[in-house]
Amino acid sequence: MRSLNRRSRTTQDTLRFALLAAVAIVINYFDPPLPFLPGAKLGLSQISTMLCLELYGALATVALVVMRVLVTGIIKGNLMTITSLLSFGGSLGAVIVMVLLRKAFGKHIGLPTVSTMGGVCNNVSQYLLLLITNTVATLWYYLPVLVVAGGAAGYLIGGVSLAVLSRLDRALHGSVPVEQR
Amino acid sequence: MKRSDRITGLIILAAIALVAVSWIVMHRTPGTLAVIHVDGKVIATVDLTSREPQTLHITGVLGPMVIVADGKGSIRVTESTCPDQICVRTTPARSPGDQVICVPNHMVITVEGKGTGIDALAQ
Repeated sequence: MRSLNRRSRTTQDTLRFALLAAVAIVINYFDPPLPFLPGAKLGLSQISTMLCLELYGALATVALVVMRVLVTGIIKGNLMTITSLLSFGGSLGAVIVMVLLRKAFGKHIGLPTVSTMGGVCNNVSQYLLLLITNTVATLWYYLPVLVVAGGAAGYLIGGVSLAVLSRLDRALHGSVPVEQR
Repeated sequence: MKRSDRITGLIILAAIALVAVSWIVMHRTPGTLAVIHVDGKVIATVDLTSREPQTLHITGVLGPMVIVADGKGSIRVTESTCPDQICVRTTPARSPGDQVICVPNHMVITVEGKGTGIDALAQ
């Protein structure tokens, strides 16, 4: 992680965190549903989650996820329904797994791989939540599709996050080699 | 981007290919009913689950046509009076959603059945 974690939190950090949250909410609101996978979305707002995870660590990311779910729930009017529960559970599962992965294998795997596992875990934890809450009939054959779709979307999102991060680094702190991520 | 990330990318591509292929194979479920339309009106239905081969002689806008259900779940046009014979050369229809169409004769065969996929959409 970066020096931001070691330094005490500044107003600048608070503002940047708020910007990340705002971006997450807006993208989440306009996230296009995939026509060939019913119920699935691209999850573009997770770019924001990834950036927050890299810049501000796990706790801030959980806070970001909570904020995103609360605000989009209010905007869309589905707060406290299964939709926002799924959104929250999926992101939370993904964040936990990604933090653990980063701690365990941070030297060997880069952001795309971490994000891939995050995408997979997002979908798996949503599937498990659906099983627990018994909302839909168990579509066991849909799980492998969800896992692969989550992985693919996660990989793309990881790649985009990497690109955004390297540009952010250049803009804010001068050049930091991308290979470090 | 580290080397392991490229490997992850390759694994994902392989997994997508695998899922796509199995999805397509799984969705080749046989249909149950073929509906034959001429000029938008249903003129005959054929039970595709029947093991008996059936031959139908119908009249299109241009002239007579012969439609054969082979008793193994697929249906095709074997003879038609149309100039291009596209309907005759079309792959036999067998899955829900498959169609055989003869434009000059205003004739459409559609296959219906369970398992056309989506029965609910959550957004």
